[in-house]
Amino acid sequence: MCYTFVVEISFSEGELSMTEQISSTVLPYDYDDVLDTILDIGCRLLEAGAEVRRVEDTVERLCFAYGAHDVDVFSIVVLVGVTVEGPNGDHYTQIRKVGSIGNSLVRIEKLNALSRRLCACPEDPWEVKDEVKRICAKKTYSDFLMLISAAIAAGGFAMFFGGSWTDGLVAAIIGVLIMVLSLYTPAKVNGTLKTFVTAFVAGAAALGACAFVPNTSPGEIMIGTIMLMIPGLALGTSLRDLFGGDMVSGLLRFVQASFTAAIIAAGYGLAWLTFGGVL
Amino acid sequence: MNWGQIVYGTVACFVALLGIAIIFDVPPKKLPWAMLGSLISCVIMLIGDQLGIDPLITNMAATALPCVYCEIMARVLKTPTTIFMIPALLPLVPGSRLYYTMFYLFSGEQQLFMENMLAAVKICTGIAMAIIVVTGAVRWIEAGKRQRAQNAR
Repeated sequence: MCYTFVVEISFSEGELSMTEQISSTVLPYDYDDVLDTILDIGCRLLEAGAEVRRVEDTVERLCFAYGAHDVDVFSIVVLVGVTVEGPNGDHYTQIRKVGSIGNSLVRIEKLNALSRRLCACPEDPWEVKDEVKRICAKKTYSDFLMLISAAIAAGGFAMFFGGSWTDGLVAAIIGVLIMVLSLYTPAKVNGTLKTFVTAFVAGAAALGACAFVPNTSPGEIMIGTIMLMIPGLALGTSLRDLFGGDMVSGLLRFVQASFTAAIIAAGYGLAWLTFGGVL
Repeated sequence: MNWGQIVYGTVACFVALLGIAIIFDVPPKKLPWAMLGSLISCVIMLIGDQLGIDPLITNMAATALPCVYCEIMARVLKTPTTIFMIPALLPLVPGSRLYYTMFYLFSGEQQLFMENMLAAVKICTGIAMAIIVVTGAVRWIEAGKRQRAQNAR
């Protein structure tokens, strides 16, 4: 209670002195709420796998659009922090930590469109907050479609890298298996462990299938299924971060992606060591 | 040149990338444009392979052209570049090289392990170099534009 009281006083004082000095519009919202909403957008962008440069840029533009005089944003892979000199001359600081990083290009696109709209014409922060929530809750493609696409992706890549029709079919079935594992494991399971188990299961399934299905080679099947798991978005983003000058984020993401790749190799390798000789 | 193999490879790659694009949540309305980008990189890759051009050069070309396409499309459709970039660059990931690197590591064949690892590193370097060149050029042009706009004001 005490806190809001102080803020209100400084807000109205600032407003009084500002009306004469600067002609910029003083917004009818509390700037803490505005900042909260802006960081919400930044945070969700990071979660969807956007580059750090994009996040910093978006937050900065939005703050200026909401009447800030000065903005300092700092973001790394899992954190966004911002200090803003508000329209009334007060300074506001908020830091937000991001939980998990996924890959959802449609979210990046929608949040980007939202921030463009807000930059052109600022809206009520509470309504924007609801809209952000709605954007992130919505699934673009159904689970069934995800399973189908995993199948055609794994099968297609197996054939692209020189496999036969039967290789493609087996890879497609294992692709579905990988997608089931990634869709239906509890969210709290450690990401590294999940990757390792998925890689091991996929490798073992490929070797098992080769023992029973004629005219198949485990190599092509495994290559096809590996393509599903390779951290492509993370690697691409890390490169764009690095060359955009965000060394810390670029390196962090690069190490993360390399580590994931190593874990995938370890999973397939263990499957090969365990079952490769037996079958 | 073996056209049959190019067509076969393109079709397989296109189907695979459609799946990948959906897994990565490419917005449905932008899906056709994203697929066109990946088609470009895929065809360049296959033709380069058939002609026996050095993989470094092939991969640079197969990265640079789709990257230019992505930057243009991103500006035309007013969307982030990443949306087109990821599906376009995925066919270039040296999946088979990486697999054989792992395979020979575990089967203990040093020579083949090194050979495949170096080939994979070479391909990745080619991709990275092309991304630097295109992204750098785009930022250069944008910086120039911004400066001119400021000077005019």
